[in-house]
Amino acid sequence: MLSSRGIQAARPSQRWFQTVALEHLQRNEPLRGIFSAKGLETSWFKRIEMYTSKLNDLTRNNTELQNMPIQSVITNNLNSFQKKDIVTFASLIYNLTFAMKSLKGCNIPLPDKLPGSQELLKTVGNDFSNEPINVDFIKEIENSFGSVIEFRTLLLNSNLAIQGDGCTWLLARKFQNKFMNATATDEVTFDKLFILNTYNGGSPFNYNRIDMINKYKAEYNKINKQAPPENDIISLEEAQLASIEKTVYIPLLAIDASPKSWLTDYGVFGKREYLNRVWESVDWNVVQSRLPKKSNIVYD
Amino acid sequence: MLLLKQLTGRRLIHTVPKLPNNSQLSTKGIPKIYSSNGFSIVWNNYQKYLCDKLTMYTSGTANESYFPFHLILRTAKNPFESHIFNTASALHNNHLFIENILPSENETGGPSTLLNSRFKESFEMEWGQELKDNIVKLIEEKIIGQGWFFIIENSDKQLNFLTVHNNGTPYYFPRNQSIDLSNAISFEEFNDLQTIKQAVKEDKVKDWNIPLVAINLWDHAYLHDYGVDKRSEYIQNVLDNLNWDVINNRLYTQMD
Repeated sequence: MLSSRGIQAARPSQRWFQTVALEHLQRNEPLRGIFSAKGLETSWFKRIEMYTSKLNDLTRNNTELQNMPIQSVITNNLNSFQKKDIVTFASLIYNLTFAMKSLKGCNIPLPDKLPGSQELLKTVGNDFSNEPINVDFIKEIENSFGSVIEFRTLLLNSNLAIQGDGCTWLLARKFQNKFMNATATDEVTFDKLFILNTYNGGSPFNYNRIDMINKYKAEYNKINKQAPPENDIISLEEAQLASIEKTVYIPLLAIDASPKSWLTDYGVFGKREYLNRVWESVDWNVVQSRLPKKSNIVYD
Repeated sequence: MLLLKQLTGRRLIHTVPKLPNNSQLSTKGIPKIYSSNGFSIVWNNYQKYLCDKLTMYTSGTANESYFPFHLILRTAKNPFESHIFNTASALHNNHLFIENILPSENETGGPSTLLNSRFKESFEMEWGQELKDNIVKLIEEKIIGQGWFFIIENSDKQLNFLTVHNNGTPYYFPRNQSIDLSNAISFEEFNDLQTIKQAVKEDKVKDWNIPLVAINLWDHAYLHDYGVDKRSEYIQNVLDNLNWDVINNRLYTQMD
């Protein structure tokens, strides 16, 4: 690392991906009600340092990539197998930073005893005190999920269902006018909210790889001399894929599922309790500020 | 009569297997690999978590009286039973793992002559630092999240490395879960997936792989003692302190 920095000094035009620093997360200090100082070290500082140094290793000598914002590194290289690892680590940085930005902490003291096996019998329940404040935002949640309680249950249970690493996202679907071509000056609007899980280094900008799969399928059929299906009736799966092909989602909230986030402070049985604290710690102002304007037209 | 009743009415609750010297392991950990706390997390707590979860998923159902190994094979094909598959597979893998790192009485032990000749045939080198370095590098490249590493023996008595994501199994290749589909895949990987799909569809899956070495790559196995960025150090320690009595016994040997 030291020698690399020497090169950087010699060539001032070269930029490295800097390790993200968030103002509300301080080293050797806890994030009240959710991470102890040691827990925060594991769930944030050590991790973001590791991911950033990996990304710098992978993009060494590639100034074009190193001068891009993280999000462009992901979206510009989604379908490149050669750049798969770069996209993976860029996503990990983006996802973790995004998740941490909206966590402000809460007033419940950390558990003094780690949760035990009785945890397995509990559900996420509906005992909570933190909830969205903005009336318009609550209306959007009700439109898309029924109620705040239903939204919370779906959000936390989706995360509980991730067995390894990953993130659960609240996303706004970008409105796309099906009858007119969008122009660059068009304002970004949304029509509906969704919840999505991504796994490992998956990204909400990369939830489908239909183009790539279709290309591979054609190539595979050619090699195996399989004729494409004769009739043009498409299957349900194909129809569903076609309908989401061009959809773009705007992320509003992310919850990290990795044991790196909860094992230190909550123990082997503690993921549910961790998720409880995450909900209590969400800064809804941050989440709401990420929401674009509502579109005038809503497709179901 | 009593015996018949015992046989037909057998119920199974999954409990953490008792290891030899269990109490000593809990107070002293595993020398050169785990502190006592580190050992407690990966075995006493995590194995109990998996056992309790598997009991919850299976008791009172048709799956109740099966052992974890049979549950893996029984549920591997059914997407509606993946929660059972995942738990049973994790539980079985973790038992394989802890067995092959138990402190050995035979401290200078290593691979048997037969096993070492297999290493040489399969990897063009015997067990040693170079092979261990290859393993550390392979895991570093392949598994960015949670997973397992295995050295498997196939039906032709060749050895292979196998990395699996999350809780894949070494026993049934369509559920190896070796390919991470979260980001771009190569055409070769796509090809493999199509072949697997076809094999499952035609019910032509023959998999006689036996895991010889198992390494737990879940955070539960190294976070406490090694920290987020020291997984490779942990893998190196495991590879340096394997229990070869256990592993040599897992190798297929022709009985005369």
